[in-house]
Order: sequence, then C-alpha cells, then structure tokens
Amino acid sequence: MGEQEFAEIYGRLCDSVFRFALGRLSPDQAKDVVSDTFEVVWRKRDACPADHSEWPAWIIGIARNKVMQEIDRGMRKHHDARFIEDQSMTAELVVMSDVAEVVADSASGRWVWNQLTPAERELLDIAFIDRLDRDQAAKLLGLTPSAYATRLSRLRQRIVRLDADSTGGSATDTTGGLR
Amino acid sequence: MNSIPPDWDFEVRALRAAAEQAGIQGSIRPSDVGVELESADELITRLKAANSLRDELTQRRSRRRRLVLIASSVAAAGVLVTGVIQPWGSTPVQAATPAVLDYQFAAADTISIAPGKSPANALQRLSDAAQNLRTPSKTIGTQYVLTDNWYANSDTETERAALIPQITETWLTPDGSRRLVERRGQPIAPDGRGLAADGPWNEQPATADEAEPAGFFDADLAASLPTDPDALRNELMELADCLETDPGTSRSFCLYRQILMLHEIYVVSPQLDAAIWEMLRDEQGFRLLGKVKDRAGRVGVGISIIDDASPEFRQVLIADPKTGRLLGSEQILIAPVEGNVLEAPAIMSFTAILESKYID
Repeated sequence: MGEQEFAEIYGRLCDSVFRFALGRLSPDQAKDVVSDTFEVVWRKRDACPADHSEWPAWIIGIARNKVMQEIDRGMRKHHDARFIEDQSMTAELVVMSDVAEVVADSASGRWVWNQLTPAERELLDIAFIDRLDRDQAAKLLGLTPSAYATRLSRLRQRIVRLDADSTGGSATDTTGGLR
Repeated sequence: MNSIPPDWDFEVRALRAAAEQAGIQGSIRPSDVGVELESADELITRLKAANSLRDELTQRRSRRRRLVLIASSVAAAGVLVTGVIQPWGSTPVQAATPAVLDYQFAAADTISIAPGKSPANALQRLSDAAQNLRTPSKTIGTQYVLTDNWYANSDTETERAALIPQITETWLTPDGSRRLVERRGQPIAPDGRGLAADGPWNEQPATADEAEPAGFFDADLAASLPTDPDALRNELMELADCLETDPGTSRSFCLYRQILMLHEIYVVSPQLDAAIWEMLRDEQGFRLLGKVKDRAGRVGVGISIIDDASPEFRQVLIADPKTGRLLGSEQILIAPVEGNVLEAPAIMSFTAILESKYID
C-alpha cells in the first residue's frame, strides 16, 4: 500500500471506523480508535492484503480489536502502563454508559439500543458499514455467511418488537418495500 | 422448516431501516458529535514523524503526556524534593516515590544498569513449582482478586506525597459482570513494604465503586486458555493484537502485559501459571533479577524485561519460587524520559497481588 493509497483508504473509511467505534465508546475514544487503527494500518501497510477489495474488512478488523482494547483498558483501569490518570479514566467510563445518547436520536431509540446485548450492538454496527460484503462481515464476526444473514434477520425482528414496545404500538413490517 | 437462505443484501437494508425507524442512527459523522478527525495529510505527516516508535510506545504517548502534567503539578506544589537521599536506602529520589526494591542480582541503586542473569532455569523452576501445586478445590463461582497498587499518578497529591497505595478488590461473576472497589491503603513503610492482605484498609470508605454489566468480560477466558506453552503464546498474541509476532523484546513485552492483565482480572490456575513461565522461557529479553522481598514482605524472584521500544522502563514480574504464583509487578523508570521531571531510577508503579480465589 503506497502513501497515496493509504490516504485514499483513510478518506474512504475513517468515518465508517468512527461510527463503528461510536457504537461502544465515547466520541473522544472513537476518535482515538480511528487514529490508532490507521497507525496500525500505516505500520502494516507492507503486509496488507494483496486484494484491495479486502482492505475495508482488514481495517475494520483492526478497528474492532482497538475498540475491544479500549474497552478493556477502561475496565481494568490500573493495568500495565500506569501512566493513565485515574480520574480521566473514571470519566471515560461514565461516558461509555452514555453511548446511547449519541447513537440514538430519541428516547425510545435509546431505550431500544439499551435493550440490545453487546453482541447485537456489534452486529448492528457491522451492518451499518457500507463497504463490507456479506462474507467479509461474517468473517469479522466469526460466523458463516448464512449464519450472519440469519442473525441480521433475527436482530431486525427484535428491533422491530422493541420499537413497538417502546412506543406502545404493534410491531409492523419495516422492510418498507425493500424487496 | 425454512430451507431458503436469507437474502443478505435485503436483510442488511431491512435491518438498517428498522434500526433507523427505531431511532438508532446509522450514519453519524464525527462533526455531528463535535469531533474533528485528522486529515489524511495530517495523519501521514504525524506518522512519518513517529515512524521510529512502535505501537506500544505510541499507545502510551498520550498517557505519558498526562504523567508529565501530573508530575509538573507535583513540582509546582512543592512536593518535589529533587536529589534527596532517603535515610532508609541508597536510592536517590525526587518526588515521593516508593523505594526501589533490592534484588539478588540488581541492587536498588544499580537497577538501571544491572544486566541480571539468564532466566531459563528460574523460569523452569517456577513452571515446575506451579505444575506441582494442587489445583484449588473451588474453581467455579465469582473470581475475587485483591491487589495493592501504587502509581506515580495516584488520585491526590496527598496520596502521592504520603506514599499511600490503593487497595483494589474485584469480583468477576460468571456472567461477565464485574464490581471494582478501591480503598486507600496504609502508608508504605520507608523500605517500600508493609502491605498486608488484611488490615485497617478494610474499614476505609471506598474511593471508587464501579460496576460493569454482564457480558463485559469473558469470565471463562483464563480458564479456557491453552496450557500448552506454544498454543498459549499464540492465543495471548492474538488476544493482545501483538504487532510483533516474531521473537524479540516487543513480543515479550506484549506477552508480559497480557500476563499482568490475566492476573489482575482473573483467577489463574496453577496449570496456566506453569504454561506461562514455560512460555516465557523461550521469549527474548527476559532477565533474572533473583530473590527479592516483595511489597508485602513475601519472598519472590524477579524476572525483568526491558522493551527495546521503551528502554526507559524496566518491567519486573515477581513470582513465588515455592508455588510459581505471580506475586506482583513493578514498573521502574531507569532512564530519563524527555519532559518527565522524575529522575531515574524511580518506581512508576507497582502491583502486589494479595489474594486471588474463587468465592461463592
């Protein structure tokens, strides 16, 4: 991956990586994940996949690890490098609980989001990334493509039910003529 | 039975539509939440400037900046006493930092330069000791870990000045939720020791009481790790996303960090400890510092690593030679860091693991 290609892939994917991280972290932490992710991409640019179409999945995979590391770092606030200022870490943890405030634009949306399990939230975050195809997304999550598609379907049904519960209405088809 | 495979493209679009209808935003630009990302040019310029630094060092950059700020505030408050010789030891200290421990092959005043010895035999003995340890009768339930910790950047200047460590208790339940409670410990004795598993700290009010929800941790992680050293190495490198997978101090340091993480969160079985020590025997850069009396007054053996990427710091694992259990860790500043007011050698942090067990 040359410098120009790095700049191009950064331009195409930085917002997607940010949105992906934002599903689990505060905006500031998500910004750090973008930075950390592309620092890894830069250092590993000579070992990136030969097929350019695989770069998005490769980069999101790195971002996923960075998100998990960030969460882990927050959880074990006194681990290893002890340079972390504890008060700021506490603040970050507080912010993490408010992720719903960022990713949902209504009270009912926040309620729905809060009902989802971490695995469901990650599945949703992956599904929101435009540049991954089914096989790449499935591989990221350690699923077979068919299992991935099935989980998407189940998650959609669950969100529809939760949305209906939150608004007191009945679950309706949200496919909206997508087929 | 529905044998028709789901239409993936349709499912993705339908899921996005359902989520957005429910109020969950699919597209959130950084500017929507007040964040401005670097441009590609800015990022490349910065990365080129930092090209010589590896990932571990880079990750710590911002943390170090914070440390410098904290150390600066200590100096401004008049706590810094540069060049004072503490009466209980020969280690020159600046800010209030705990005394550096004396190791068999690295005295406190030579900790910056002492080469140590080959650790192979000592690591094998630790592995054997752990292997021979009886597995605790209780291996299920809540994982309880009690540690005593000191950091150069503790929460308050009072704690830093008086060398008051923090007692941390964690309860990791099988559903992956965890509670963490911190209390102020007892002031560290002049020789840097004096911690006890039970003491007046029990009556201190909690300075932090945090809970993480179910699913935040994989409660079975430590129990599920392989006990074959090579398989364990691969698993830990993957878990840590170690950038360097070839033998070298960078890989060794990455594994070191994972070992600490495991012991500070989980109850580690003797079998896993045995595999850890055997794994480290084949890693590069580790050195034997020899016998030491740890912060809790326990006899241990020090195993040290200095990462080539951050040669200013010496990291030490202290293990019980009789049981192969990890007793704690020390992080020692051994060379000047630009902008850091602390002078080497100085303790940057330590952790003493006082208890690690399953409880109901």
